[in-house]
Amino acid sequence: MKDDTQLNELGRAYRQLKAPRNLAPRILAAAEARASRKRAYGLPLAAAAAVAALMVVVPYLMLNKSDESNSLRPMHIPLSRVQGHIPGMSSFAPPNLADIQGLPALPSRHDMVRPETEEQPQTQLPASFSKPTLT
Amino acid sequence: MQTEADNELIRRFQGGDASAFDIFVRRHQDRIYRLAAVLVKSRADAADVTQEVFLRALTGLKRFGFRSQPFTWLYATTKNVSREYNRQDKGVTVVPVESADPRPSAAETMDSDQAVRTVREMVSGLPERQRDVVLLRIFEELSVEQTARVLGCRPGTVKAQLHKAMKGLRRSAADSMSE
Repeated sequence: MKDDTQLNELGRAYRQLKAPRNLAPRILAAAEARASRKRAYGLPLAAAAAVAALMVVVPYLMLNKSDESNSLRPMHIPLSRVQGHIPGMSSFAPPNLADIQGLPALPSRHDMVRPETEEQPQTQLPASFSKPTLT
Repeated sequence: MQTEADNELIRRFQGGDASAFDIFVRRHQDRIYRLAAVLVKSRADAADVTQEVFLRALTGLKRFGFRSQPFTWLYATTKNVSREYNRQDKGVTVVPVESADPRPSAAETMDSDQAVRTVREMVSGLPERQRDVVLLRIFEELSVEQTARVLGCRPGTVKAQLHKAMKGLRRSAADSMSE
């Protein structure tokens, strides 16, 4: 720039530049189109999201409301059964599995009978088989 | 540039008044269009950039927290969108270099197109912060305080950057004239 006068002249000419007359209507039309598109797709999207949420929530609730024997239901162990695990508590009684709802009573360790093992038939080696010898 | 009026418009817009957005667009479209015209390569691109800036404003200003000026948001978005446009055009659009001397004499009346090209050429060699200061303070005639608020810096920084920028511009003008 040679001097400030030149710069002022340039600035004045620059500020004469205005946006095209149709720009504001064009922007507002585009904004309106975008908003209406959102409205048009927004409702089905919201409905789809709600259905998807129901598809997850309803089975979960039904699962938790099913009968007592449902194995997914959280087990309730009486506090008296876990005394002793807590420091300072004198008595210790391991929980009886039979008390846990939904589970059949298991036989004690002594009641368990070791199943008889069947005698495995000896594998007959062919006569031609010779025992390998170490050299 | 009336920040309070802008803030009021945005509050109304956030409250669901669509006409507030209409007024906001009409208040700022010329300035955004001019800045975009300097930052991109053609007036058609400048119009597209301006439209995109206001469409982003449609969603962005709904969450506007009034921690800065609305024009700060618009200017930052204009720079971002212009950068995206220039990146897309890279290697595709060839900008013809003006054969005539882009610096007109003071007596010469220049049209706005020519002025934009001259401004673009002037500021293209400046560092970004100096370019921002020159565009806002010199060409958009914002006050030092307003420029500082838009750029999120102190008025002293604006003055220092402006001083450096003008020094650089005078030097490059002198160099090109001596060639």
